[in-house]
Amino acid sequence: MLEPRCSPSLFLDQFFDFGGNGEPSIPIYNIVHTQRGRHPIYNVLEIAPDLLVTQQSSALELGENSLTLASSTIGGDDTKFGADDIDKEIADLAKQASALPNSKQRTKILNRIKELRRKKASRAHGADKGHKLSIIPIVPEAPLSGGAAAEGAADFEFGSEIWTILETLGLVGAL
Amino acid sequence: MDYSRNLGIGGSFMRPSKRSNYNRRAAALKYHQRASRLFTSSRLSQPEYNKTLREALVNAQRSLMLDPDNYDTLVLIGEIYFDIGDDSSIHRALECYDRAIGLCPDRPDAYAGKANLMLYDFDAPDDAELLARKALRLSQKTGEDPELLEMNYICLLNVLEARGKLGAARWLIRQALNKNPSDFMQEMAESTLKRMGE
Repeated sequence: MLEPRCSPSLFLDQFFDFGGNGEPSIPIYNIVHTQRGRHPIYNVLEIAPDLLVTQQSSALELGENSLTLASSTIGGDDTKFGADDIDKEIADLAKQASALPNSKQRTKILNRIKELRRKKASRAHGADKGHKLSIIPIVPEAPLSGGAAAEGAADFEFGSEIWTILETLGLVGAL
Repeated sequence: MDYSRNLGIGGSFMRPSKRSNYNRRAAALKYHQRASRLFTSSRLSQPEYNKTLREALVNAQRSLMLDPDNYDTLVLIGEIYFDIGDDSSIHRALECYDRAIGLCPDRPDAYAGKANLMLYDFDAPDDAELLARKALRLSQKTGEDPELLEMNYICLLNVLEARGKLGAARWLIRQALNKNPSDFMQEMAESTLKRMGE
């Protein structure tokens, strides 16, 4: 078996931001998995950061160190409107509609109210057919402050696995 | 034999046809949302009212090109054409509503849209009343969201008011307030009764 020319943690240092004592400043699990919340496709789909729901682990009581996943339904992710904005806009339109004597103009305004209400009910464009993205509950690992040593061990295991793969592929000598 | 099913990566989820279909629907959704936003933000009093409506129409048509059998997009295009209101637009609106009804005969929105078109543009108040009643009946039958149900009450109320059926309109107002006692419905009922001279 070939001797590694650098330790697994040093190797991983090339990819992840490690702390001074070989401990990761941010748990690798969080670095890897919280990328879900910032996936490039979210920009394409206009899913704003405020639409990302924080999935908190009740078991570990992690607070802010929890994972973020997208909450998204077909038609329910129009980032330009929140429910409050829609209610305000509907109230404005309702005032206009009730003041209009011309019934055709009134109907045109009522059509806008109806469209806003469809949006509010998240039913526009077939949103009732199902989720666009699945919401997968994941229990994240403990935060660094809670058990850095345990995490370091877990990270080392993860590094060892990568090392084994590289060894199998015969790439260790190249490092 | 299809070996791709046995692979961990691949299988039916990764088949190009399904993936491209998903991408197409996502793009259609984007265009639909943009069209909806432009349509709901356009106001008669704005100087660029027509331009905004046309822009909304273009986006809705793009959405329909990507997802041709989408009921909601057809209804939205119908509403935009109804708003534009010229001779060719109202015929196109009718076409959209008919196509939407053909796609989903149990959903009320296209019937309500067509009722407005029949009442105001095709001078067919009998048909308008039948369609508005059907929209309300379907809305009740399918247990639609109360906020959408009351829009169908208001649609029928407008038709009855325009036809001068004031007794039926008063009865409908009582029914609507009984079933949907919201502030919005109250406001609409009061303004309707005021116009009817009560």
